[in-house]
Amino acid sequence: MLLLIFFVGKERYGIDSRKVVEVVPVVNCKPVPHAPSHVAGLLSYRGDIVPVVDLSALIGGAPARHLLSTRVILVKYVGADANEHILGLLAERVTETLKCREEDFKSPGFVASAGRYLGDLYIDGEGMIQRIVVEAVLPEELRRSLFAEAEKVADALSAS
Amino acid sequence: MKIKTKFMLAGTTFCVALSVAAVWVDSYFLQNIFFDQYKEKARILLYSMRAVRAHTGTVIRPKATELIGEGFMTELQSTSYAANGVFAKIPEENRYGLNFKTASIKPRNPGNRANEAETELIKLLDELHIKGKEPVWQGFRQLNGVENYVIAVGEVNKPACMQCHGRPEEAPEGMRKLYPVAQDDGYGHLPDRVESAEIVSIPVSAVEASVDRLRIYSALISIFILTIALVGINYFLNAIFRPVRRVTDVAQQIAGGDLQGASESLDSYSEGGSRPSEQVEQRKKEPDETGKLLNSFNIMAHNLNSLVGQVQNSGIQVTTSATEIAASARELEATAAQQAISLNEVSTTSNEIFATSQELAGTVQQVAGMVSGTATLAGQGQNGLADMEQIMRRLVTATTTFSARLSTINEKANNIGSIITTIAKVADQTNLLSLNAAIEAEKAGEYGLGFSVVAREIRRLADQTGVAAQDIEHMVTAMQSAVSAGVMEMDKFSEEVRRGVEEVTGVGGMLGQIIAQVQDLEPQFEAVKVGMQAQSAGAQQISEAINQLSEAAEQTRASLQEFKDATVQLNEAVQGLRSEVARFRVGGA
Repeated sequence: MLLLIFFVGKERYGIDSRKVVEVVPVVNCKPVPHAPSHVAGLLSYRGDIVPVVDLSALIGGAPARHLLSTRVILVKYVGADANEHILGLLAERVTETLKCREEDFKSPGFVASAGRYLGDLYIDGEGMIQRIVVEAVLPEELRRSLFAEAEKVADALSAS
Repeated sequence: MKIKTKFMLAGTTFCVALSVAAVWVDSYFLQNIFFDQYKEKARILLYSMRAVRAHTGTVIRPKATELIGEGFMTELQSTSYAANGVFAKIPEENRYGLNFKTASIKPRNPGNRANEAETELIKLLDELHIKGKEPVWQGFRQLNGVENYVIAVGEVNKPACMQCHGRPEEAPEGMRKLYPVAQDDGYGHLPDRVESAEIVSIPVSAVEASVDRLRIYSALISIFILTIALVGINYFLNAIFRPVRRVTDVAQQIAGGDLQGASESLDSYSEGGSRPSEQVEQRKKEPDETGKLLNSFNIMAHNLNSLVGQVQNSGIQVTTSATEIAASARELEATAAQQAISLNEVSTTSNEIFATSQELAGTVQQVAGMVSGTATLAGQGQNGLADMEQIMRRLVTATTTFSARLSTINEKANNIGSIITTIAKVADQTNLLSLNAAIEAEKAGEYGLGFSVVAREIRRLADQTGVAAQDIEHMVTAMQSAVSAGVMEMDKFSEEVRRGVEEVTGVGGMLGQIIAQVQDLEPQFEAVKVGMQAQSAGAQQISEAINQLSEAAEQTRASLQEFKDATVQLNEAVQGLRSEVARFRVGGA
């Protein structure tokens, strides 16, 4: 199993590479009005409208800085309508991968209601890496509204 | 003690001594005369009594014997009886204390019996008779325990006597009848012997009582005369000493300094008062010694009064003058002292001026030397400055060139920065690519394993490139900032160099001026030096003159001190004179 590593502050987090579609450089996103602050905006990817969530803002509370290593991780997940969707995750220092085994992950034993997207912990020589549960990053209501917005944008694009 | 008292004492002592001596001598002679008189009286009485006995024995008794015959009649025939009777008839007051007794050791009359002392006397007379001398004894003798003057004549038994007093058988009949032999002691007389005596005696005490009485009279008379004499002496002494006492009083007043009182006293003696004036007038008419003395005293007192007055006035004047002189001398001394101090100060100051001017001359010379050196140095400095200006101008040019070069370096560095950025972007892209490749290789499973390794290797190279690019970027950035700092510094430096050049130019001009001025100064320094030397010589001369003046002032001060001492002595002498003279109270003279 390959884990894509990123940083929030000085803490390392990881995303299962099987969920990753592609890692792309940061491009200008279209902002979504009235959305929570950790929603960075909407992104066009190969004809699809992808909502982007700023993980630094979500986990660390501060928006991600514009560095060369700050990138958008495009992940796929299955929504409530059983269709597969793509979600953009904005994160800092996305430059490394880590090879690891599924059995070595351990539950943290404590999960806050607002932090259900934070998964099991993996320990290597440099400390702990927490895995992000991609499906739990967006709450249902936000996801619905975001994808609705994305469909509207997609309709507008196709109409033009 | 007053002379009068002395005179009185001496006179009294003399008179008393004289009186006592007179009384003593008088009483001695009186006593002798008295005793002689008493002896004479005793002799007269004795021989009177013997005459009575002789008369009775030779005249009356034979007649009576004729008349009465055989018998014996005591009243007619006893001689001792007759004598005793006659003596008894002498009145007591005419006896003068004398006693008469016909003492016998063989008396017929028991009343005539000799007592012990009389018996001894009779024996003495008997012995005188036996020796062929007159049986008479006179002298002082103890009778009945009392000292008496005694004169005694022994009765020698004659043959006539022996008829009745001899052997009894030879006595007449009548006698024997009258005086029986057995009872009578009047018989048994021895022929030609003395067995009875007529004794006249007088107690010495009686004589002495008379003498004492006389002495008392004599003493009383002496005292009386003495008193009169003393009164007389006193009167005469008063006559002599009263004026003397007055003169003495006046002399005491003069001695006590009361000249006024003395003058007044003399005036009162000569003018006031009744008795003294009379006396004085009398003396004026006919001046005796005391009068002359008083007049002389009067004149002397007046003269002394005026003299002392003058002396007092003169003393006051002299004191005033002496005090003034002393004050003047003190002032003069103070002035001299101040002068000396001032002179000392002036001397010190002139010495200092001398020293200072000499130092100054030396200093001026040094300064002149230094000025010459300065001129030379300034000349050298000007030349150096000119060279420096040239160098600085070249430096400005070089700096400008250097700045331009630095700008070029900066541009080049910027170019390097853009290249590095490009490299970094490429590296990033490569990293991204390798990430995606790795993810894709993972998705490919076992088929992607080899690709996965390649992707990781690519990513490692990309990372290294990125890091190197980052390092280069840092270095370039540092170089750029250093270059810009260097450019700024160089700008500042070139600005400063420009200003330095200007300043050097200014300094060069100033140095030129200094050199000119210093060159002008040199002859002036020479003049100053000459002036300084002249001043130094002058100061030395002044100092010498001042020293001489100071010595003269010191001598003056010493002379003034002596003068002041003399004044003080004069003042003391005058004070002494005044205190002496002040004892005299002077009238309005």
